Amino acid sequence: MNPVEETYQRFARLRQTALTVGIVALLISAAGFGMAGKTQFFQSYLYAYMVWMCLTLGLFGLTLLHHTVRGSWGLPILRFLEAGAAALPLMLVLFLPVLAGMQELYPWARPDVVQANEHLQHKTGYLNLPFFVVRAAIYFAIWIGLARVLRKWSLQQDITEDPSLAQKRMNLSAPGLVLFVLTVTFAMIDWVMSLEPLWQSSIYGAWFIVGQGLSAFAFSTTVLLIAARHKPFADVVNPKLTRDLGNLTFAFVILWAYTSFSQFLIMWSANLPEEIVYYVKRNQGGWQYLSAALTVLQFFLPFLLLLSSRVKRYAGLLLKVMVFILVMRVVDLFWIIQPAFGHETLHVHWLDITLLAGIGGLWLAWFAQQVCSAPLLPRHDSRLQEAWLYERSASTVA
Amino acid sequence: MSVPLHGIIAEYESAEELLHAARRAREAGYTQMDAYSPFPVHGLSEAIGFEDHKVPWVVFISGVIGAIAGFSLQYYVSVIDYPLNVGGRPFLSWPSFIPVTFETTVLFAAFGAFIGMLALNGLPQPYHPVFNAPRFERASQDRFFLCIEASDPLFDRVKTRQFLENTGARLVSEVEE
Repeated sequence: MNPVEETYQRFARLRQTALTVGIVALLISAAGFGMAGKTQFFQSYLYAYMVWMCLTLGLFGLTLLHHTVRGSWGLPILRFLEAGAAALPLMLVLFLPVLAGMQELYPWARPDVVQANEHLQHKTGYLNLPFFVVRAAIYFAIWIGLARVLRKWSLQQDITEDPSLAQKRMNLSAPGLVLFVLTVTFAMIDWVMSLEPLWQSSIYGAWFIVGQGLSAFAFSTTVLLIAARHKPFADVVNPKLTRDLGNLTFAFVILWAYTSFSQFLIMWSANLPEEIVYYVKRNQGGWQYLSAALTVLQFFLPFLLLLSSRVKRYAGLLLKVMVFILVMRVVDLFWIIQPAFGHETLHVHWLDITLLAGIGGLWLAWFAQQVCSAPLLPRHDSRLQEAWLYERSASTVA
Repeated sequence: MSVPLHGIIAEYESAEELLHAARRAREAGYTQMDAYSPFPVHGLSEAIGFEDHKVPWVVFISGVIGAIAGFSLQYYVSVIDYPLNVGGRPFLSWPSFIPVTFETTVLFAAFGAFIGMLALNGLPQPYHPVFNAPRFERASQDRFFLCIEASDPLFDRVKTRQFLENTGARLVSEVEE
């Protein structure tokens, strides 16, 4: 078996393992539906769903970004970005349980709550069940449509080597990015912000998109660096690439801190009851430790580590930082979503974990399947070969 | 021939030739060399074996000092020297101190980068022996230079000259101290 074939085999094995873990975890979670009650189930479900949805959207967003700017950093990870974006149909199916649990999740979806609150009554023009479903359908239609067309043109160019396809992808991706930012902003407002329907933040969409970008960079770099032990990825991973990916992740770490802090500073300074309640909830009952941990571990630590050129030069060190950021993103979404349900003290329910593993298992299996169904590296861009040959000649001489 | 030598310098017509020559010099075991080019050449600092990470540390430490200075200034003003009750907020309103602290961090780090780079390079330097090299003014126009310095343990007036002539140099000349 040739080495590239073996890499395909590894992804196929990942698919099998992930699928098994996912199904087992989902079966256990289904039992939890009866044991822990449906409210807890849907709360854990939405949390787990959003963790993987944010990653999916992040990978999709980076696909659009790559096709727009065509940076050479995007080529080695392009197939992972595309495979992540191709998981959007799966996420559409997995969105159905959220619709089923809306009354458990969203206060504005319960007529008795709306009846008792005049403020909410004024919001029913936007926050109502039919419109919520229609909006979700529009978001998914736009995302899946864009992702499918871009992947088709990308794979097509691998075969036909027609350079006009790159131009077509660029022409679609640039307006696509605008649509992406708009739709994701609305989607995050609908699915997450409206868990606390009396609260609002205008930086919310940007905050989430930056977090998604951070997840996506950490995830795709992690997969790349693990796969880099084998061909064909071993040939394209070099210090220049790891430095680029490290620097981009570094930028997103800073952007995440910037958007998080901007939201906090404005609300803290204004100190208005309807706004500050968001941070009051998240700074008592044990949640304050999570707030502090996120500040230190999702900003200061990765910031200082990625500042060092040494970390970015050695794939092994960079891989550790990336895995760490991914773990912190899972914690970050827990901090964003769980206090919204009114849990006054910090606690992790076992359903949070089994559903995270369940949805994650299906997601990874789908991802691995998509990776296996295409060339592992885009063949259509000559820069991949040029960059690779150049670096090889450089490293053999130096 | 009694004038001590700074080194032997070779002139090239392109960045690729210079990179190639620098790599060959490194392979031959030379360690003390410097390259001069009209614009930054990618990979050149690695090729001449330049390993110096002092500037990043100067920048980092300047940044830390900037952060401490910015925060301390606000602390001194709002808590010690002139405490004002603003809407019942604590005097030590650290969230509102962060933007200024960030700015002073960047400011000090930028100063650290600029001044640190100049200081570590020994600039400004009105005289450098390499200015004695013929046609060296073209290092800021269209020529690329590689100078193997006399302090190199392998340096030999004749052999080093021969080595550089074999790297495709347009002109090889001695540089007087």
